Amino acid sequence: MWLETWKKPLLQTINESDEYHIRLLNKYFLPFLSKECPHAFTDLIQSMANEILETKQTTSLQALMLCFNIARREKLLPDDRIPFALLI
Amino acid sequence: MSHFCISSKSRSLDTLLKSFHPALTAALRADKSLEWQLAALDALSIWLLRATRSTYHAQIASHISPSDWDVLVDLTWTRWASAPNANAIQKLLKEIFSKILTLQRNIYSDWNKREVALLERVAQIHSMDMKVQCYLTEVLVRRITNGAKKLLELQEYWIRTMLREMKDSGTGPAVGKCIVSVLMARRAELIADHNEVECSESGSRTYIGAEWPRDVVGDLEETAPSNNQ
Repeated sequence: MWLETWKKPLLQTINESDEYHIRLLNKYFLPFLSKECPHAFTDLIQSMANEILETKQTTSLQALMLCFNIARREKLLPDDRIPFALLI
Repeated sequence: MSHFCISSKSRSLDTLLKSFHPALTAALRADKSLEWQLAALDALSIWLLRATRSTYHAQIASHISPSDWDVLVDLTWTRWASAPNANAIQKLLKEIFSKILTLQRNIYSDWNKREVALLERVAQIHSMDMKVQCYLTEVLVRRITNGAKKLLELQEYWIRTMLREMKDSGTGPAVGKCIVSVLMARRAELIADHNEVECSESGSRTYIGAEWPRDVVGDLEETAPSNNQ
């Protein structure tokens, strides 16, 4: 129920915003939220992933990627990205 | 001896009541030097502290007219607007606002209604400086029972509107902190309402003022240039 109060406004804002605005959200909103309540943050990721699987709509993919990056930074998810050095 | 105490208390109340209008009038002067303005706001802050400690609630309430009370409450954001870059003044205004809320609870029996009405006003004034609006919203939402619920009922699209306000890097940190504070207050309200026990790795915490983590405060204090792209 709590998640529903902010999930939709957040996704709508991300979908409508330019890169500069998303960078500010990424810097000043999502990290604060993840510090305050990591549990809710992982709920958001799960909820968004489920929606993508159910609806086959990828409109919230950008927001999901943003969340993954934060989750990795906050050590909520293992960082499974391949280091750039290994790609060369 | 008891007569002396009573007359001493009476004199003290008299002095307190007489000094209200000069203190308020001086605190409204934005045309004086910074030092003068700081002294005037400090004087009002001390007056409020004395008033909150006084037991003569009825006398204080009857001495302050409704219009003077409105001027006193509005002072936080009207003076903020006239001293946009004076951190010392803004710090004093924050203190004054807290003391006003305490005094309001002491002297008015309908303080609860007044706090909700104030939250409604703060949420609806579009011309208010965003940083002070965020501060006042955070304070009131935490203070009022089910304050976050009331705010989101009053302003259905508050979260979306505030997320959009984050376009401005000058106010982005304050707005981000404000949204999170309101969301955490709402979360606490829902947990209390439904008696839910939710846990997280580090637990849910609502930071206020100085308790905000240092790295976050560092970001907030960053003076990024305003950019309304």
